[in-house]
Amino acid sequence: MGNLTDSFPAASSSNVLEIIQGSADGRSITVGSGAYTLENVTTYTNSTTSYQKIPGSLIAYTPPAEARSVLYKFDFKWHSIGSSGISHFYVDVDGTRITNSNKTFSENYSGNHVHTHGGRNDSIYWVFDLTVSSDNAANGEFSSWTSNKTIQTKFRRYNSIYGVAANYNRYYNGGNAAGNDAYTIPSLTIIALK
Amino acid sequence: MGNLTDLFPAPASNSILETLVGVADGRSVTVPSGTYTFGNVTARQTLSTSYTDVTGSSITYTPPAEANYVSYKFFYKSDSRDINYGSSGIHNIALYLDGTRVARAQKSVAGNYSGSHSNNHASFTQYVEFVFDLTAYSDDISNGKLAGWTTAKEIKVMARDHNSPYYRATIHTNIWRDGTAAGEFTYYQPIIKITAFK
Repeated sequence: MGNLTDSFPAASSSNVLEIIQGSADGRSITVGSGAYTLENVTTYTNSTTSYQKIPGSLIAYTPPAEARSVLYKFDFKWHSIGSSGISHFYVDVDGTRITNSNKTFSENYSGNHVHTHGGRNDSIYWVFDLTVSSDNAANGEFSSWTSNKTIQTKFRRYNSIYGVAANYNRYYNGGNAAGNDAYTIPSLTIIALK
Repeated sequence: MGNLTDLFPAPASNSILETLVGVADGRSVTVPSGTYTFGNVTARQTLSTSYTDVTGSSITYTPPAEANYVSYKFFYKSDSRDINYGSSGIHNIALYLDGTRVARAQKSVAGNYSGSHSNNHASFTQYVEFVFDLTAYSDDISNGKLAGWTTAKEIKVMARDHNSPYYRATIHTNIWRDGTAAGEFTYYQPIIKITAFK
């Protein structure tokens, strides 16, 4: 007969408290901190010169009490709808832009604004630091996070010439994409760590 | 008195021993294997035709004793450099573990070539990812295999431009922001994510 601890070993010491990960097709995911419903993306979204949410990127989340950091990661597809497709992105938490999450994506410029072949996967992310002594939402730092905060990715096009559509396939199956082929469902990942 | 299983709960079936993730803004993060301080990226980085360390990519890490696999993932932003020379922004990436190149992780990244070196809009998130296998009988770092990993080892990314003066890239760069030049927001801090699995 072995030791008692062979039969009942100590619980895992992993610092991963919970992971929420799913395609934004309206599914609900239950983890330790509660049940979360991802957005349901059923079309692509053209950019404008004003910031707007990328559908599929939003979650209202409360981490477990022990959490010391929270990773937010939004993976999506973009495709140019104007020239090289220059567009701007950032992570928004409860209406505040996280300054250092700002990103610009584009394909290379062809020399002709109607050449719009640029299309890629890309990611927007931030790691929230919950070990600080006071809140600084613009830095993604919170001394306490005990109720839902709404996190989302916002985007806009550079100007009326350069821009992308989010969650967009311009081409599919050897032709111009249409209907269900014209959009692709993004994925959202939240990891809470102690 | 409670049940025995209250005192000795069943072990978690989770194979993740720990996840270490942070923005390269100088923060320190404590996980079960220790406390790690990330680099502090405060400027974009230009490359040359010689390999140089990519700022923010280095971390000196010791996995938990039970680890069989360690995943390293480094997310960064790249941009084609200079209006007259950047072109498609080709650059080469190499991953190093304690000074040895992990050959299987090297890659080249670029945007599409437009036919003009002055068309330098290519601007993407890139990542370098590799899973080290710690179950090997002997160390073969160039293939990412180790016979255990019990002391601190530095993991880092190095990069170089494809050529000079054409096909060059900058790292951690946003050329534009909010419909205009990026100005003070010209740099973008990268992220390191390490996951140790048993």
